[in-house]
Amino acid sequence: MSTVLTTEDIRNLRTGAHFLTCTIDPTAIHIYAEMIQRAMEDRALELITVDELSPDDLVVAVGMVTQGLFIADMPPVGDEFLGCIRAIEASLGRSVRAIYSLAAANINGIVPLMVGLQSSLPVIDSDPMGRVFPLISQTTLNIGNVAIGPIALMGVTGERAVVEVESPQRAETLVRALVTELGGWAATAMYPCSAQQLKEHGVHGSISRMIRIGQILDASTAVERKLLLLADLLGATRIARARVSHIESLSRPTDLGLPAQPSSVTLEDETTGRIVRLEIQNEILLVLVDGAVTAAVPDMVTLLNSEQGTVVNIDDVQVGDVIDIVKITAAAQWYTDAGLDLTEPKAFGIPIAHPRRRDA
Amino acid sequence: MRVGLRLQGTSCRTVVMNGRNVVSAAREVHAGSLSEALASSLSMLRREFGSGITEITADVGRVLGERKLADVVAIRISPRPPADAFHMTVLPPLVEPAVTQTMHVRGGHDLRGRPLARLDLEAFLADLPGILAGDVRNVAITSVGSTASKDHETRIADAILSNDRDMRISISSDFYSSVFRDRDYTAILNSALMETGEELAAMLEEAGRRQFPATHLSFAKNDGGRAPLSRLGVAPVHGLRAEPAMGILGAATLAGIPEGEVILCMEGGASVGHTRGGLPVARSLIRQGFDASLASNAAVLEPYTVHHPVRADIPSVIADLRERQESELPFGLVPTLPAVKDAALVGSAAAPLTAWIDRLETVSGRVDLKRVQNLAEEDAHSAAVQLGASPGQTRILESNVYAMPYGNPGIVRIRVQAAGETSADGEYVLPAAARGTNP
Amino acid sequence: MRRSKNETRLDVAGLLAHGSLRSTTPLYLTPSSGLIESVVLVSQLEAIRQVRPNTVVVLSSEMGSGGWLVSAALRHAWERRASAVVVAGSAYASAAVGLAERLGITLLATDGEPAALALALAAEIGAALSVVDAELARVARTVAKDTTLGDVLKTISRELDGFAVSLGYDGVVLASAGMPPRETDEVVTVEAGEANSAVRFTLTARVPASGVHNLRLVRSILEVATPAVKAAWLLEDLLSTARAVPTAAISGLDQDSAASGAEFGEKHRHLLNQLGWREGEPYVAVWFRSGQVQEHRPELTAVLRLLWRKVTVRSPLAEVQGGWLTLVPAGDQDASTQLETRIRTRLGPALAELGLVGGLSRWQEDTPALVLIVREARLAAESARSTGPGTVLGFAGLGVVAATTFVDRDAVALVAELTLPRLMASPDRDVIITAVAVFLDHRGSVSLAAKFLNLHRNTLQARLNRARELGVPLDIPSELLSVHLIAEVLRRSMPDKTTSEDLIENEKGLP
Repeated sequence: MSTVLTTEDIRNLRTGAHFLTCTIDPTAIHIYAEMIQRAMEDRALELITVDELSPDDLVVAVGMVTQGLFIADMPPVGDEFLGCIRAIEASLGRSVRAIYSLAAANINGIVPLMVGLQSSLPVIDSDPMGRVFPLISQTTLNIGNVAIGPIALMGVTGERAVVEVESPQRAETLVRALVTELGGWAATAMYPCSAQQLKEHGVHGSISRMIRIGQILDASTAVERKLLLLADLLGATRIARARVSHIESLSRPTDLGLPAQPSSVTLEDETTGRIVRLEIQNEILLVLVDGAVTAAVPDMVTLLNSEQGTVVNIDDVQVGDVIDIVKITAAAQWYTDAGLDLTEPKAFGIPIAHPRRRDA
Repeated sequence: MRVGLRLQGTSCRTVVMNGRNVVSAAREVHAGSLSEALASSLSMLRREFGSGITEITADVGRVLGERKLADVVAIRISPRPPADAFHMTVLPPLVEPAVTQTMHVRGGHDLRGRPLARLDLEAFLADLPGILAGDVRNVAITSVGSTASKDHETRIADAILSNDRDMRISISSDFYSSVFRDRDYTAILNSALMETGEELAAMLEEAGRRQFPATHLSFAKNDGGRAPLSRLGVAPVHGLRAEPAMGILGAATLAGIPEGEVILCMEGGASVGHTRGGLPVARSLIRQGFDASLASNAAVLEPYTVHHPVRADIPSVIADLRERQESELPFGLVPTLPAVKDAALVGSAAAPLTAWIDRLETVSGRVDLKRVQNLAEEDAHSAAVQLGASPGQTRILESNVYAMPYGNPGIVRIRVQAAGETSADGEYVLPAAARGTNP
Repeated sequence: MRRSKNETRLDVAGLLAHGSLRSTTPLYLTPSSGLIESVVLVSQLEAIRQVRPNTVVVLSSEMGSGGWLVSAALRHAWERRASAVVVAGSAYASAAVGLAERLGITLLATDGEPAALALALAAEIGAALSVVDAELARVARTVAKDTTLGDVLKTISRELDGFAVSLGYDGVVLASAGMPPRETDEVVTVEAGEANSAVRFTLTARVPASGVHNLRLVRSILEVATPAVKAAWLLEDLLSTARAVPTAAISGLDQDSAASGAEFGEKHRHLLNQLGWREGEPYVAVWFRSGQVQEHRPELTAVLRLLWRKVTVRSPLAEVQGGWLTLVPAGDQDASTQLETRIRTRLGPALAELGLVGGLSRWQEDTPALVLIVREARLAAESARSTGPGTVLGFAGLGVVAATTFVDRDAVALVAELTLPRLMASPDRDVIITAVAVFLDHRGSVSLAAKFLNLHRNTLQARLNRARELGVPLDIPSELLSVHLIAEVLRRSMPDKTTSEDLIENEKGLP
């Protein structure tokens, strides 16, 4: 069912996109939210479900791929995504009918709305991750053998590239290298596929879910009430309410193929005495409670301020802070063997199998 | 003895401290002008305490906040200018009117410090006479990637200064934020405050020289430290919101808790801060809702809520800073330091010299990381010494390395705080161990 | 590898105060000092899930020391009731101190190499098996440097403090090194190779039973050394095969058994010269073959070569059609006799165990052609089969009797079945045949034969008459040789039972 989004929706979406990737500086999300709200003053923004399209309609994922430069440190000038969509259309000789988010959180959870406003293309309430992952190969479309290419990229300098590639793993390598040299981030359009393919292999309700999360978190209700509502909506569980006792960086050598350096946070649950450890590599990959694996990627783990129920940025975490650690189950596709192969801790260089692996 | 002093409107309020003891309770002088009030206050202090006054630290935050911002030309350096109005950098409403002109210059660096585009100095030089011909004397320069390379910002600044030495220039690489619009906003605000900063510095300098020729004069900063007056004209933005930091430091000083929790109860409600190593715990940005953040290391003071966890093992001070103390404190709080509405002045009197190093480094491994971290600590140490601290009285309070989310492997942010005292004032520093994590 | 003679139990506090943990930094110590019974050096987190209680878990350096890893290791160690966790470097472990305290498990940091610490600790608690990864890798590296089997065995023995190590095949000791312990010993044996593999053997160590050695480590050392043993053995065998080519050639060239030595020498003179054989040099040929007609076991060549070294190392042993051949220089009759004695004493039991027999050629003054002494040795070996595995016969002590060895017993038995059906069907067949055979052995003398069989002369006479009734032509001189042959063959094929019953009867008859 097609929905015309309101500026209120965008405000909530901003919070939801941040909630699902608590470790990331939300500035870029805010910048985009503002931009979208201003643009919405004279244009309507339409959110559609994938069912509203013809099965053959060409749809394409739009999203930022970053490597080295924060989007907030060099906001796009505005023509990048339109250029990418045009490049995909030129490459395939077909018109793009609708766009969808590359990821259902963080900047890429919100960027497509701006692109939708600029291009007048409808935005599909679906995505290929159901959360955000650092690699463009970590998608449910990849599990479903949907081709990632051709990929169109445009960087901060206005330089562009179209990468003709089939293997998502190769695409990751090539795109990552290109993005570094394009300046640190690139606007991209990838996974051009039919609406039918997205319907079969995508994760659905991504954007409306973020809006709903924002409604819960931005309401002036008690933290406990928010947690209850989140549990209903997402099956979110609070792993612990704990006080930060130690923060460290670079705790473990990281594979150069992974786009970041990790750090860890140790917390103590003052009620039970349990000791909680978060392993972070862009996002929280692993939660150990008293040394036992309690959550591991692809599970989503997010931090909430225990007093206000607002999302905590990992950058802002200080020793002494009391934080609610919340675990959210990812899309079901990620817990299949193929899904875990792509996204369990081992894929991030942590030699631990996900607890839900049948053979684990 | 040390003096904490606050300027506001046309008044000057002072507290005299000896060690941790208040020697002379707050006195406020109102006069026809701010400089008269200041002169009168200092004259009184001289009569009473003579040369016993060794340090005077002025909190000028309220004056900086109440003066109209000076007009600023904003120069932004990036590979390409915004393609549409939506993609323009948006400034907070308070500062936005101060920017009378914006200029785009092609240039900028990536996070590795490599140029994204050649700096288009020729185009800029062609436009420069137009800027210089106007009335605006304040310029803010912000470049993409200036956390990694300040080259383009300094070349533009040099180009301006070589044509007009009297321009006040603020460059964004003096302030650490990974967000362009934060640095842009901070450089613009700093630039808009420089004139006021210079005036205040000159006024304090002159009054001080007359009454206390041998005394160090400083201004209070929002990290809970102080800096020599000479810095006020250059980086006034750090003095803008000193009062909360000074409140935390003052309450902690009076209570004698260099490591602990400080709850400040004010008219607007209760707030919580923390001290570590004898100074308020600081954050590198002052957030302002969803607007751009101010890239200035500032004490963290957050609202006290009903969910606030109470811990027996952490010393805590509850200070009642309200003008009138008739009503009960919120949340059933009971003050451990009653009626200390001048806690912030006590903090100003106690504030040590502080210096920050906050920068990106490219490291090849753990050993290299240790090396650049040591280097940053040495730099912070010598920065504090340059501000006037005695080397023997200077210590590292915080030394942290941050991984950069989604950054290039090997690029880390290193943030170090050093604090020190002039040799005569060592006993004022709260005893505490250094803090920070050293991986 | 050695365990402290002190049998008092070790604990964390003791080893921290004056033991191998002295060099570690305690990050957290449990209030009561934990017992230490073993140590394990882990390079994978999962390995901690297998440790026994009261184990010190040492995280290897390649595992890293990230805080999460230390946390997870502490958790696993706690679940297994380990006594302590040792990590490399203290930097990242500091965050885990709280967890160690919470779980009540000692956490130690070492600035040194964790593997070295684990070894030192293992030395103290005698649980070196736990660190076999490190210790055995060293042993493996050491033995891998040795190229000869003797050196490999010596090295293994040295690792076992000089105690005996032996290489065995089917219960036969092929080679050994080191001294067996004087006291009662513990025997540790590992088997190598599948039943069908080229080299199948056992390595056996004998160490004192007093408990100084950790038997599991001894076993592990043997296991680790096995590939080196195999490699050295195969290498030596390969070299021996090459050296044995000239020997093999002589047997291989001797296809025409009718040719005389001179003819053979004439025909192949050039080639023999090329192979290094010189006319007029005196040799004794030694031929080994299996005692029964059975499947060929290819690995026996390698085995036999090792055994042969106990006799001499200079003459290579060649695998040839129908057995193994070697030519040993022998300057005089004494040398030849000594050789035969050495083979009997040193190899006899082993040959018996392996089901092999041996034959030697005669020593002759006039240095006969090599091919002739080879034929002699072969004949001697074939003759030896009749006496059973382990027999070593010299052709000199054999003479024409050797001819009987070549009788086709099955054919003779068949002839008997066809020509003497009544005898073969008779219930007292075996008694009659024995009587006939012994009678003929004694050149037709009833008295001598009866004496030999310890029978009354009349009894024997009655049995011989019975034989005549059953169709045995005892009175036709031209057929006597054949009868004798048949009787001998049938007697050999008799069940042992009969023989022993006879013997018992005979014993009863003794005064």
